[in-house]
Amino acid sequence: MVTGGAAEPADADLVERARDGDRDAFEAIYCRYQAIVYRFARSMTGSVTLAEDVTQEVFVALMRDLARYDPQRACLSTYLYGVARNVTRARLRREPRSVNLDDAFSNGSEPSSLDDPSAALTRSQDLIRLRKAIVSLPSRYREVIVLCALHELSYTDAAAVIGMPVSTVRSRLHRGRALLVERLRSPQAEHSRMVARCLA
Amino acid sequence: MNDPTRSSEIVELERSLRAVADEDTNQQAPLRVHAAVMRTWDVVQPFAPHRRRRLRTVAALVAIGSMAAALVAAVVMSRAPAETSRPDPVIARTVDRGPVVANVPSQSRGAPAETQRPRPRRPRTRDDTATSRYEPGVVLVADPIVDTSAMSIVRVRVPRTALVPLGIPLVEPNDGGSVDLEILVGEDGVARTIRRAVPVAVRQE
Repeated sequence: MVTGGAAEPADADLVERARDGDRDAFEAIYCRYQAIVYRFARSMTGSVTLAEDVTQEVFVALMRDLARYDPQRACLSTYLYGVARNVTRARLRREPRSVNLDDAFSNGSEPSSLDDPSAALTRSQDLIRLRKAIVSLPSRYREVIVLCALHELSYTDAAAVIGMPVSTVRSRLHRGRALLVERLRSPQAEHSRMVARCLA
Repeated sequence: MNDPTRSSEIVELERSLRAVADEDTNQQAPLRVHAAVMRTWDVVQPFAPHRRRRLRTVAALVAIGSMAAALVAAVVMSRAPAETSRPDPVIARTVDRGPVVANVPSQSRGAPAETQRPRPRRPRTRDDTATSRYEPGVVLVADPIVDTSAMSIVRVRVPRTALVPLGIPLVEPNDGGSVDLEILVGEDGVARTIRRAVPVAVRQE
């Protein structure tokens, strides 16, 4: 979360200037927050195309609602996460079949280690599986996983984004992790696990 | 929850989630999204809130001005009938019934001066100077017609009683007979005013 320092203007200043029609201020807001919005949308939808659309919609909504944004109530990043969440949910409701998992996760999942290519490849494939498992989660679990685990928001911030109590965030995160573990188990591991249970 | 396998799976999951987060760190929206957003800003900007407020102020001022003008006009209109209540239709003597364009200065056309003299807005005195060669008729004066270049006169004969719905009061509304009307018609085919009304019976006398 960037609130501005000595060199960079604070969010509130940028918002105020953007309200007065300052194009550069709005562009600065975009440059500051486009990445988190895009990443959030991409993790939530699993689609690059949808993520781009969501990012655009979020900032168009921001320029429309600049007058209504109150910096006292929430910081700009929280506000944008909230807008991105709503836009993403709306888009997924409208086009639930348009999600293409492969196009979203083909770019950033190349093997990164040259020391052990096979291990890197395995690792990369594991991450692809994890991303797909995240996208396949029910949205109420998916969003807390994305916010808390991938975007490293605090429980409080995540609660502010989804408009729920912190306890709800905790429970959904716990349940979401459990669901991910179940979905990531390989068939062999699951079989061994069942055998062990039967023998116990 | 005490299952060590499950605990290790959770730990592994956390590690994988961190790896995914690290991979995503440098992801950014493509430049085309940036361009599209700023294009939208350029389009939406004229309607930005601060400008909307300004527009609202201007619109309010215009509305207040219009209301004031309407109020003044209403006052003037309400006074006008009191000062000059419309009497009977004005009977005037006209020189001839040739095609004449109303409200045109007499020097600009070759018509007789009596006909082309600029008329007051509401002439209401009988023309006592009329001579016997003039036929009695009704000369109606409406609002000034600004552009008379494309006016034409259409003559029609209508029942005398048909004048009442047109807003022309009659001295003896129950009398029958017909009236020849000279109607000024604009270039668009819309009748602007009735220039003259001549009772047929009187004229035939």
